[in-house]
Amino acid sequence: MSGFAVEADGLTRRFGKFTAVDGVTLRVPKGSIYGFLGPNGAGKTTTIKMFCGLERPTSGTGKVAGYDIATQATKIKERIGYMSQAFSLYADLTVEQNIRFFADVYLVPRARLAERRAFALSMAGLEKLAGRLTGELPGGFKQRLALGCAVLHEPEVLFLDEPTAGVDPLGRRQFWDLIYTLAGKGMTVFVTTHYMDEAENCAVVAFLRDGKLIAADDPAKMRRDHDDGRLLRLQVPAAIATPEAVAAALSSWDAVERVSPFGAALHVHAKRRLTPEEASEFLRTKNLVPDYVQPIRPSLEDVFLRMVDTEHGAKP
Amino acid sequence: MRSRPSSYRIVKALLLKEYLHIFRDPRSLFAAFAIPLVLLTLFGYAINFDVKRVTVAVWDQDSSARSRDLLAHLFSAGTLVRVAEVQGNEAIDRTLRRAEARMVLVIPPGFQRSLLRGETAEIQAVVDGADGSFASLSLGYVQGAVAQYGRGIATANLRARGLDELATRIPAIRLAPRTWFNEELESRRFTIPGLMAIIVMMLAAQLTSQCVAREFERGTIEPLIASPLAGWELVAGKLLPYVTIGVGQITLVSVLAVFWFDVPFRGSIPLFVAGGAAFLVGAMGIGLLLSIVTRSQQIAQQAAVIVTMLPSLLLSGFIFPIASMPVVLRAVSYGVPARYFLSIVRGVMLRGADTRALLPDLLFMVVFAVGITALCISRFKKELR
Repeated sequence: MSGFAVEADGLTRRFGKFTAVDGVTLRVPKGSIYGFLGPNGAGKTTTIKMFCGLERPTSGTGKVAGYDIATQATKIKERIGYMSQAFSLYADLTVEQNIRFFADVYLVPRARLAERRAFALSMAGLEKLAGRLTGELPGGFKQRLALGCAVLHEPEVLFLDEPTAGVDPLGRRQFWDLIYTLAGKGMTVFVTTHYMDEAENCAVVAFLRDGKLIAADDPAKMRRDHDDGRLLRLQVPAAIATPEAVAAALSSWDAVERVSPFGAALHVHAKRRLTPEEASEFLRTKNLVPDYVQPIRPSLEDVFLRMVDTEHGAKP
Repeated sequence: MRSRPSSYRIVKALLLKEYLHIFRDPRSLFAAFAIPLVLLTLFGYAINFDVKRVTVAVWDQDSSARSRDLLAHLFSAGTLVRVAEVQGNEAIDRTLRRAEARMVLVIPPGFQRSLLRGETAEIQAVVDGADGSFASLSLGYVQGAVAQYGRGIATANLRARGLDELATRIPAIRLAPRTWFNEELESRRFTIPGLMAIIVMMLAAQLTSQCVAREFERGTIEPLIASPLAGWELVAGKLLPYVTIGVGQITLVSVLAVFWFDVPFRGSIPLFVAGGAAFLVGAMGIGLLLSIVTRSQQIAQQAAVIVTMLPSLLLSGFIFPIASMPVVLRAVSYGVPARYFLSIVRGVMLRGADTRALLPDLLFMVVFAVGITALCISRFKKELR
């Protein structure tokens, strides 16, 4: 058995003429947290579903926990945990009943039942609310209980499909603490997200666009590789002009490669090294006096936007 | 295939979960038992093929001792009720049109004379044919009563001519109308067992049409598909709880039929329950299959109504005897589980039929149940891959 928990070679899924996943090749090292990023409709969920046996690949091969996804689905299902995008516990059952049901369906050994139940309850912070109807729990608790139920049988690989969508920032922090704990115990975690700060937590981040994997690497290394010293951050007071107007003005400058909005500020990627003074001077000629212009190192989001941009994404 | 203890554990978990869903929603559970009772009571009273009270207007043109004697005979049983005297064809037309009477009896002039001469005398019965079944039932009744009276006259005539020997033989060939198993020919006896089958059939498929579609709609099916659960385990875990509810429904409507509608129960209860359970697996399998295929609670429910209601009513033999159907429909009727259950309910309750007599029906029902379950499993396996 190889050292990878998840492998894919040319994994492809077509729905009629639409290609949802297009020749994805990836390797997920055992015990790592693998972040799967991409805009909506990029094929993240379909890829996860193929690994979990919910969707059949049109072509290509894949392995999970060393077993072939096309021929050994049952073996895989015994070794994975899966948390889908939608809340998938039974709202009309109590916390306790949900835990008991999934423990039975996933065949948690009876001797471990009490311990796993306690683990799931403490993970969700629901020790005192085991008799509560699951549907009545606040969102963050529901998510953590769903995670607890997905790992009752101590899976080798855990697939999480946008687990923190719609969860408040504190809830997201708590959720990621749990993911770290699980990974710390040797579980491989394959997680999709579109929160960049979450992606920074991953050992490897993969970018998916239009069903194709355009990059997969250590996020810190990605940021370093893209740090060419040509990125500036600037802001023009809203009283003078909208960010869109400023972006339009900058885009017309031949020294500028791309402009992306970051809240009220703009990130400007230049074609050559620009000093902040040069940029300020240009803006002044357009009567757009900036509050500040400063050189910055690219964040993961900068890298992502640069890669998703067709022209640059094509470059290796 | 997995070891038996773990399958047992998975099916049990699914079963318990389904019961939790069911008991979490007591109104649906209550409806599952109340609806068949209400339907059976309503239809039990509404669907009635008996001639109970037929209002009759009389136009006695002969106005003789004989004609009065005949009329007295006809009205003596109380089924025919004399409500008016009429004269003339226009009056007949008016009486029927205004529904003052549902039948008009016309005794032509010369009725008595014909009888005294030993000739065949004719009388006329005019009925409102708008309600076909009523018309034929009431005509049949009058025909029987008149024939009975006629035979009395015939024997009297023979005696009068000194042909006593011949006359004594006539009663021997008199038609004695007797109906078996439903001696009073009370149609309710016959309709209630049929209704039981139809009602249980209609509700059975609807009950299960929701259970998998709901999991698809809420997304709770995904962790199940991603789990090591096998197709047959899910189908068993989904069908069994509802079959127990169905057995409860059958028990309840049977109790109502026997203790309220006085339908006899002549056969064996275990045979009845076994037949009922086999029928329920098939009927509920239809609902489950629709639930898996449509993945929508609403569509599955509507489809269940369409797929079960009309065929059960029309092709089960409840309304039209299967033997008199065209070949194609007779062939289709083999795929209507209500047909087998109907014949088992009628057989066990009315005739006291034993296992051997009902073997073909039992076999077909088991084949149907196994077939539909296999179809459910293979459809669900497509989801599991």
